[in-house]
Amino acid sequence: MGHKTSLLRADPILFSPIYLNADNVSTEKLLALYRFSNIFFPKMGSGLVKTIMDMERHSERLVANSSPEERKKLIRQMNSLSMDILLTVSDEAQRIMEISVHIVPSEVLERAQQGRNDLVHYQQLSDELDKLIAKLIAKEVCRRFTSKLADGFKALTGIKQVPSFITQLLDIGWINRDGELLHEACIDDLLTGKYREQFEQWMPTELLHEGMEIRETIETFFAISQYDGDSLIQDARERHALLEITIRETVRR
Amino acid sequence: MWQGIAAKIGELDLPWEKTRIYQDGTPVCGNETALAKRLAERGSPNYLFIIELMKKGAVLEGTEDMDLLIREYDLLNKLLMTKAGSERESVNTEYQEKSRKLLILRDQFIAGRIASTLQNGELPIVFMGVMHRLDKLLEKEFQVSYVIYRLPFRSIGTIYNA
Repeated sequence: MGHKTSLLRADPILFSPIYLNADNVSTEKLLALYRFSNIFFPKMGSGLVKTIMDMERHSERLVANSSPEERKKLIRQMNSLSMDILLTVSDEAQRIMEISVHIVPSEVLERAQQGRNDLVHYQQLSDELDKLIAKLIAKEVCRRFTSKLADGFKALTGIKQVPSFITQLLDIGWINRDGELLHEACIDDLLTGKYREQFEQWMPTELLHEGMEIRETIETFFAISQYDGDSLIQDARERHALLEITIRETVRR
Repeated sequence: MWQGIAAKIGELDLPWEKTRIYQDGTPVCGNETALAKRLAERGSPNYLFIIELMKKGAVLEGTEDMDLLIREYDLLNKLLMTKAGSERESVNTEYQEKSRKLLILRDQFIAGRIASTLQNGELPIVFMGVMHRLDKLLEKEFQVSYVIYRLPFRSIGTIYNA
């Protein structure tokens, strides 16, 4: 695969990371795959992890059906063995997702013998996988939508009397002269904010509809929280510093 | 962003001597100007801009209830004191829930403050963070117009850098 993005920080003895070839993933395919999986395999992420975990659970039978001496012997004998299972999702000839499961049977057996509970690990993997797939889809959908928006804006920056809506976006640094959305821009504000009226007036109706549909899809299907943990903490630090000065200065007086 | 806002406000050509500024996080304390100067010295872009407007004749008004700001500070303290991990997650959830409720109280106070301090013939400029819904409370009594539209959700940059 070309550019691989490691998705899981899993214990390498039990699971190899899951890789996603972000360059090859298209919105339609991934969205369709996600919807299909949700219908036929509810909670695809956890379902996938469960399958992998089941491989381990079977080892418990071995624990139950053999004496401690036999198990020790078996663990010793299997010491250098490892097993690799590769699950791939391809779009035509290109792999878009690769799940490489690396199992060391002696380790698995040892864990089973010790009766370690993997529920926490399982839940963590499952949650992380769900979140990552959702995030990737949201990102891809946004990327595609922004390129459509850029086409619309570009057409408007080129006309003789540029609408004030466009000059305002240029002034506040949300778009450039090529109509491309810049770092500070926010699609939601165009679709539902105070400029919705102007967006509706100047941009194609189908673009507004598509945007609203995407917005709804992302919110409903993927339930991406408004803030991820890191940005919340960063915002909190800045606000905390500001309030600290405010309170200190006010109390000092 | 603040450069863009400054340019937009400049274009409005407001009667500065009759303009009252309300700023997110500025308590009603009697030393609002000194506080704004202190925060501007610390490099806060919005207070730097407010100082510029004050030089033109605008008045900075105490905007927030100090007790509510202290409550917000305490919430932030708790959040930031928690180490990353599962505990941080539950504190995050608690913080978001409590700060949402607190924001409603803060907005109510600010709306009341604007209504009670604004004099006849004066114009208010209100600088509020993205999570505020103050406009909903003000639109009954005031005609609200926006210098830039609100940013209630993720920006492009946030999505792409995720």
